[in-house]
Amino acid sequence: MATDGKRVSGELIEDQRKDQAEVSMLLQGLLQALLDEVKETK
Amino acid sequence: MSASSEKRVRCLVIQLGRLGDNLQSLMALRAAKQLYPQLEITLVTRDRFSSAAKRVPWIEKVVELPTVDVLLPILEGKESKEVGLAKLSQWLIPLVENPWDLLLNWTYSEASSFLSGLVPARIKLGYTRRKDGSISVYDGWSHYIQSVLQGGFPQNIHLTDILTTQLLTALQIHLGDPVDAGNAPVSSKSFFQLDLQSKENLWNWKDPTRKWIGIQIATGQSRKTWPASKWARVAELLLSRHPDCRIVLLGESKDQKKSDEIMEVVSSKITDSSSIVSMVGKTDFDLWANIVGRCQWILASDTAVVHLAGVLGTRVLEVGSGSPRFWETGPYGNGHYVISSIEAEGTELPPEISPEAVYSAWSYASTEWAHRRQISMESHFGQLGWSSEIAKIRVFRTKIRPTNDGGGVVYEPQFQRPIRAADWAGLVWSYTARAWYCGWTPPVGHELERSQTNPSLVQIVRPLQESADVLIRICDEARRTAGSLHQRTSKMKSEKIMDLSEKNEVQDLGKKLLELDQLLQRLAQTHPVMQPYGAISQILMHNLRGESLAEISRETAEVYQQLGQGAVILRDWIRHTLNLVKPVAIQQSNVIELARPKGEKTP
Repeated sequence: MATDGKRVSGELIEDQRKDQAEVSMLLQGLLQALLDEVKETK
Repeated sequence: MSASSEKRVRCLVIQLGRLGDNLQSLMALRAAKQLYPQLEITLVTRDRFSSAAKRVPWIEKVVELPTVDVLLPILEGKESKEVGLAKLSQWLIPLVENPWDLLLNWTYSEASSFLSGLVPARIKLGYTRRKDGSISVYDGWSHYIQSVLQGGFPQNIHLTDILTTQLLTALQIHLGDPVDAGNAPVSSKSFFQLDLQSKENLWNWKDPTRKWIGIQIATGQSRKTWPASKWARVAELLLSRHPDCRIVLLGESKDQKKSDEIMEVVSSKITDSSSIVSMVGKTDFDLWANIVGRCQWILASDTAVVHLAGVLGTRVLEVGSGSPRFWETGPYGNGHYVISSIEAEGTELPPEISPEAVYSAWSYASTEWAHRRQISMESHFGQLGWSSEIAKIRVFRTKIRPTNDGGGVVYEPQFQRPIRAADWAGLVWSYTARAWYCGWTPPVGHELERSQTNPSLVQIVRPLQESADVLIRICDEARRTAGSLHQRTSKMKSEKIMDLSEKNEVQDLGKKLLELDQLLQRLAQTHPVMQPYGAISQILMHNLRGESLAEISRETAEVYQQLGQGAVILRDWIRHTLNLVKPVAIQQSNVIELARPKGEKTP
């Protein structure tokens, strides 16, 4: 069964410059998720 | 085109897991680095678990996530989240300055997906975030990890093999063929460049002419940890019956009490007190790795030392926890052993395995050179007088499959018993994943023998025949419906403005797809073996990336085609299994005829 490249490797992603709102959202998400993980393991 | 002639490839690996996760990632990266030397690898890891990566010479840079500096002040109420965000932004600057050629997020966690979303890269594998903040997974193996592994469904492909295959396949597609690395082993004593200096003296004076056995006495999680009294009994059995052996206890400072307990019990029962030493709380990573590398065996529960020993080529006997996930995260390589308790499997209970069982398994394993596995493990337990332990445990021996059989590590059962339904399902799922993402698999039924089947397996598998057939039909119908929707919508000038008949037709096709999807989800709930189909279907649908109805419907058709392939594999495995249990016709010449009275003719 042949497999296609896309299925296994993902597609090429040309990351576009992110706007400030997106960066802010991701950054806040990162901090909160890290805090949650630390709380869970304590 | 050979990858060796290519320019350097900047690769960022996000591994925010524990030390064991880091070691598994390093194993996979080592294989890739051997085949693609132009990889320039930067690893992001937690400060607490960065020690292993820092000692690997071919890792270009280790970036530590400043957990202590950023998170603790917030948790302790000493700093605000705004201050934390500012610190995190500063820390991120070097990671986001220049786009990476390849980003591997091997953490598979919520937090890591945000980090991956923030870092620009040409190719991303693993979890990341879309512009709207929702989680996104681009590659097939990550779909499999998210739905099957993290869903807790049985499968038996080791995580190291998944990560290695995921990366090597992506590299081959995006960079071309690898350089010929010959048969260079992935594991070796020189994996790390250790900084021992004077620390080695702490260990060097120990008798190097003896066979050293390391016991890692605790794990990071209490439910996986074996009691001190049991380790003490194993040590006692081992030292009293094998005078050529010496034992070194390993662990962190917090395990000191446990170490004292073991030392006290063992010292009171053996004559030569120098035959057991405790290095608990006395080792940093360098000395710990040095000791593990010098031991002939490591005995441990499911913890990082299992991976460290695998990397360093030291044999492992893992006392498995209740959860049977050692298929995914157990010791990697040839000739390791895993012992798990039947009662505790699938539960969160600590492993109810006796020290006598562990000793018996180890003594069998450590004398392979003499018996060459010509005697069975059952006989060995019998010779030791502990046959009664056999019914309570399962024992597996690791083997790296030949490349022609698909490669990767396999855990071979050492007691001849029928396969359990969950293991059968794990076999089928692993086979399906290889067919989806490797493109080639051995014939259906490979690794399942007639002797492993029994009536209770048949009772479970037989009703699945109908479910598999229904699943195939659903997937086929859904694939054709999505294909029709794609054809219809790709011809339209606009998806926003359409005439009434077009609108009705599109709506009908959409409604039918929805009904088929609901049907698939209901079918998936009918049996544990079917459940992963529902889970992976949801993951694949969530990750459709098209921006128009035409694109989305084309991708939907591809998803159902993939699921349909999986359903056909399930059906073939069911047929094969049921065929295995059918009575076999014996040729007349092979039948021994019973003695007949004189003069009686053969009918």
